[in-house]
Amino acid sequence: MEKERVSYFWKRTERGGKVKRIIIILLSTGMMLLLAGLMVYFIIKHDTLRWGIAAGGIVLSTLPLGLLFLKHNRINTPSIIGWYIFVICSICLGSIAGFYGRFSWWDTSVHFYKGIFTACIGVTLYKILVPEAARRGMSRLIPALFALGLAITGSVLWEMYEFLGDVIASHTMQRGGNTDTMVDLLAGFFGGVLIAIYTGFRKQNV
Amino acid sequence: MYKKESGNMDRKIVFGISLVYVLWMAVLCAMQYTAGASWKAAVAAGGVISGAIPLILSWVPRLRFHLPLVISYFLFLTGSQYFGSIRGWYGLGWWDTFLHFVSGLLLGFAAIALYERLVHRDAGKAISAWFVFLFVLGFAALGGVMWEIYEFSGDQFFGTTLQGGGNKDTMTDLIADVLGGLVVATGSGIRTKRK
Repeated sequence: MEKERVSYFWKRTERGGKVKRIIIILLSTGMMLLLAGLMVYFIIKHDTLRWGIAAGGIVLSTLPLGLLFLKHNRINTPSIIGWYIFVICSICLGSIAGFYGRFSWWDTSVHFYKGIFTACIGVTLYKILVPEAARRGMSRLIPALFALGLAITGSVLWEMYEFLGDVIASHTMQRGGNTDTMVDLLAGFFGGVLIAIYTGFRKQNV
Repeated sequence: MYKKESGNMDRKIVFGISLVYVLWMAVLCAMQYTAGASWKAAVAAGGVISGAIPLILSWVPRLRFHLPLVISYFLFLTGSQYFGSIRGWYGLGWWDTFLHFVSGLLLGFAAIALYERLVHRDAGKAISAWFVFLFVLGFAALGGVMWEIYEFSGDQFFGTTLQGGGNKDTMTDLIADVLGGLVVATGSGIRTKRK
């Protein structure tokens, strides 16, 4: 009886794992096909900037495929879907459809979303890297600060990438100057703070 | 028993360093004031206050000190108050960046001190070294960004020119902060792994 329950449990996780694999494969191939189509379209129209962006988007879409090679992929499905929402909002709508230029609030909103997203990844990492028993002997401040810290590190790395990109090549990414950089950082910070507060209150159940 | 002994030793070291710093700044304050440099005298007076905080804390019973944190705190104060403001090294350009690196180290040590107090001793062994690494790095980055947010808000609401160097300045500050945090985070990650 007991043995049967154990094996049932294993079967269920196995099945859950399979569903997750299928979702990752479907989402990434879907996004890659969409972006490849856009890339071909922009190459035909001689739009060098946009086909470059579409190519970057293809690279970003392939990243979750790396999770398929892990023995136990513990990144949950909402996080994977969240990643593709980020790619759609930033690459497809922001850069290619020109929302970054058309709406001044778009950039800030994407940064806010990215803050929330990285903090959620932080919570997932906390659950992966700290065993259940150890979590009980830990103040709620630690996971909250961990999630916020990861969101901030993500924001800072992003701004560094833009800054170094500008210094080396393009001179376009941080053209909004200091105010732009600071507003980006603040948006990411507030996104992270939201999740950090939630994590602090619901430490054992996040 | 050994812990208590070493705790008392740490307390004495903290008391000693703080006392030396406070006296040094008090003498500098008097010297600058008599020389008519009232702004530098004010910086030195600020040094007396900053040095007095750990001095007072060293009298609080049962408070445990994290020596690397205290030492990097005083290195940072000396760098910013004495060399930076009184000797005028901020004018050198790279000094500000270097101090941001030191503050990254300081924040990293603060993260370790906080971590050791908020995590139960028995729980510590099962936790992945990557968690410690990311926690320390994230804390340093958070401190660096909070500092830039403070400067930015000052400029926005009170018309100061703390971020006068513009975007390049802000970004070099942040890069230096993160690098300082990265050094301490790597060290603490390796130490956790060895244990």
